[in-house]
Amino acid sequence: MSNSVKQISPSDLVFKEMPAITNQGYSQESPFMLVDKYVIYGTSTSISRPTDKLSDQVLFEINKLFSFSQLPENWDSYNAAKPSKIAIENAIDFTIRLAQRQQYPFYVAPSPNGDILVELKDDNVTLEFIFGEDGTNRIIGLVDDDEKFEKELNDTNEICSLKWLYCPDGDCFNWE
Amino acid sequence: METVLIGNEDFLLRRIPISPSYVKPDGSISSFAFSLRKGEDGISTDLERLANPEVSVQNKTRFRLARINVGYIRNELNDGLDCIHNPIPDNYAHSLITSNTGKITDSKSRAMARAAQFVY
Repeated sequence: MSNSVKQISPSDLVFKEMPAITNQGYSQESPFMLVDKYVIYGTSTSISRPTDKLSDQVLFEINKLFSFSQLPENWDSYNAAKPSKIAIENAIDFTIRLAQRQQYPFYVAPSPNGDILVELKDDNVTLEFIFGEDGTNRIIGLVDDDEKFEKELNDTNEICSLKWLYCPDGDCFNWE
Repeated sequence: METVLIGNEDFLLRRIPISPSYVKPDGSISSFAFSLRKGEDGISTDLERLANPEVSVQNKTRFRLARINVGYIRNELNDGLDCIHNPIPDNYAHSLITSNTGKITDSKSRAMARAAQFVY
């Protein structure tokens, strides 16, 4: 694991406003998403410190999560709530922790009720990290789409569930 | 407004957002597409045989359109789920997927998402 990745905390990141983006892949990335691949600019009067220690992939995911904050009420045409700021921040925080283990979300999306989903997947095993609009967070583990567990998200449950997904045999060098 | 009976052979149409997308990278539909919003009595859909898909999709740059069989919802998912015609002033085809418990569980939302097929 790269030590340099550990030096970045969520508070280091400052974003510029951008349109909501899709999960359709890097090739269709919005030209407005990142002004520069290695520096995310802040407001019109400030520039963040460089974030070149984060990989392009994690920056892409963070920007995607941040873009959800630009969604209006009823963005899905079925009265979806505007995604919660605290849920987005918690999801970004988690995505950075995940990147420290060289892992990245399979899928991220806002829920109709303002929560944020960060989904991880390995073959037929799925972990859904749901960051609540009220600041409460939970993890759901699934195998072949059948729910195996649901737990409150805390430090212990986070590491245990990630290990369940990525290192089920318990002999992986970076999961201790 | 006069209502019609929805048969098990009928299909319901539901818009699926593109941006942000409720279609995952592997092409599957997120369960969020078939989950209840706060305060909702049922999941809004259009009854396919009364609907014009071009109208139901509203905006093809923002949404895709998926269809799901009523018989599947009533008989295979069961769990108190039903499909009822619920016309509203600007949409006679409007219908609801309802639950007699007032809740639709995550597992039922996942199952509906798996069973839905894209029209557009």
